[in-house]
Amino acid sequence: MWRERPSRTLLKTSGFRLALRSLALSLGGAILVFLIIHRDADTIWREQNDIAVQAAMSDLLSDIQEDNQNVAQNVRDTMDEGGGLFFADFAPDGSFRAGNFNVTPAVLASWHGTRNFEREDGLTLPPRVLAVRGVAHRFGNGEVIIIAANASPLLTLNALVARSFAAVFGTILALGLLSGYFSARTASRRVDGYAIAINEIMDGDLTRRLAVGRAGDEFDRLATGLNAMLQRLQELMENLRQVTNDISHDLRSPLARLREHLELSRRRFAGAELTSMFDEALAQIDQALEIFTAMLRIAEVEAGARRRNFADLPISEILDGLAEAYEPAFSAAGIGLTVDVPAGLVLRGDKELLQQMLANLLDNVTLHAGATQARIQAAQVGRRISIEIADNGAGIPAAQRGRVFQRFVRLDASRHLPGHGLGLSLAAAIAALHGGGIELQDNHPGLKAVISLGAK
Amino acid sequence: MRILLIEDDPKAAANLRAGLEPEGHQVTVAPDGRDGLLSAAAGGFDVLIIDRMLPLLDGLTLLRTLRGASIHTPALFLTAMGGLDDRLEGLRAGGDDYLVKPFAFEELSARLIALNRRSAAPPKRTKLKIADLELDRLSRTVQRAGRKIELKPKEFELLEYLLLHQGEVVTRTMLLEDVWGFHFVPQTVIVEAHISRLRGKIDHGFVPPLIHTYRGAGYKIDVA
Repeated sequence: MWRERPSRTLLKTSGFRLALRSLALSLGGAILVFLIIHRDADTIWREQNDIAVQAAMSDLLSDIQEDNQNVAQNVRDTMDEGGGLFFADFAPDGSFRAGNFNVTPAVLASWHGTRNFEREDGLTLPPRVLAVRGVAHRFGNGEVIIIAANASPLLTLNALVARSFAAVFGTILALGLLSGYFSARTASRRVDGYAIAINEIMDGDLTRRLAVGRAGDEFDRLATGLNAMLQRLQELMENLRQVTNDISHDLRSPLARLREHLELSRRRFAGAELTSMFDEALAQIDQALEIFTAMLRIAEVEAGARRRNFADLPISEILDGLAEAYEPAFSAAGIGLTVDVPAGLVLRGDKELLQQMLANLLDNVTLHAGATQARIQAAQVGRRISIEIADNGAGIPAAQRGRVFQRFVRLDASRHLPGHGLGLSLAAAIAALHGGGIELQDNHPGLKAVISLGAK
Repeated sequence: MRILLIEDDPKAAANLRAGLEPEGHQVTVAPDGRDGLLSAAAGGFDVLIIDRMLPLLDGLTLLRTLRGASIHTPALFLTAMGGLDDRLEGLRAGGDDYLVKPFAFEELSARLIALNRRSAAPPKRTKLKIADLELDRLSRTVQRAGRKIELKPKEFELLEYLLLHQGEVVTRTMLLEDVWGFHFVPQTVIVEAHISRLRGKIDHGFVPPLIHTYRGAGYKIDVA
């Protein structure tokens, strides 16, 4: 059989791809939610922070205006009032005058308006304070005061949001992949089950059905529908078989009686003329019967039910046996027969049918080819077995080679010879049953029948 | 030979009786499966001829029942059922031979004789002899008039089969089935060509000729 094996690649299963898509969607949603939470939390905290710092700055500046003391004193006084804020006062030359935190000159130079700075940027801060956010005010004389609030909670909050996000993301990813894997495995197991059942049905077991689960899901609905179809097919095939049997019986029985009658009459009535008449009539009946048998056989082979009897066959031995059986007849017809078959070739098939197929092709050589040499060859080519039956006779014109496989087609040259034009049709049907085919080629000169069959 | 013919078609039964009785056989006809089963079970027959499609009890079940009851009278199915699996079913049901209708009387007659002789066959002989020809089944050698004759394996088997049936006509299809294992009749004259070769080896240059041809029927190995 030429059949694709059920694919085991996870990515190729539609269930897993569907799971991946919905997983991507969930993850996208999670990212969006976290971005919004992160941005809002950040904004709200900044706004409150900035309001507090601005208010402190306004208070300080108005104090400085009112009491006319120097800036450093005011900073120290305000600092003593507490409030949890950080203050720093720098002289115009950048030296530290007062405050509860300090910054490097580089930070001082770059601090304009509201800014965020972390300890690593060059800030001297109490322990546990990792970052600050605040404003710098520059006086006309170059003196600078900075008021900032502890920004560590924001960092902590951001870290928390990032950690929760990582946790949620990871959990969704893991669960999504896992559930995707399991649902894909469940689905592909069911599909594999169907594929096995369908192969068995194709192999001729028409009573086989697909498994239907109890869930009533789409697979079960599909299986139920297919089973109904298979039931119908089986009934039709049985009807056909019954009709074929009936026709066969109803046609054979009267033919049998006619034949018996003719034989009995031939015995009863002596006389050379009568005897030859009876012989001729019997030969005609036998010819009609041969056609009938061949047609029934073709129909039977094409129905495919025979596949369930397939076994591993030593095709080398079968070919040798046929060659041995045909050799004296070939020799008597003046045809030299060479056999080139390696030992040990095995294929899965039906022995009786393969013998008949090969015999039909060999019959064509002895009856129609007009050859002096013939050759039987066989070889294993990958997973297939190739058998060639070649002769050096008249051959068949290329245009007619396809036609000879059709039923009842007999080429003009062979019309006067025995045969019924069904031999090659039957051979082709048998090759097809074995997952192969027969091709007729030019043998320069003569004809070469190349049979390709599925190996074991 | 006492033959029980289990056949529901009266015309076919009459023809068979008319064909077999002149050859010295006694033919009893059973018109349906149940009657056939009872008659066969009662015994007294050398061979049973059974149609497959029978009223009341089909031929396969009939024979299976008989075989189940340890009645081993040789049985031949004579039936219109000639499908690929039909013969196998017949043999599995306990049939000893299977012939599809229509048939030639010579064919049926030859097969009945072979069946009857098979059931009465003497224990396996290792040497088969006719006139001055001797075939040794153990050493697989053949000699005639003391001269060794070289035979190819199939020629040996063919001669062995003829000798096992010596004095009886064996048909072309019997030889195809039993010697070559072919359950179809090739268009090529396979059997004739082999017989001709065999004749050239065992009869050429010897007296009397042992292999005889019966036109339209088959071959017989016999002294006269």
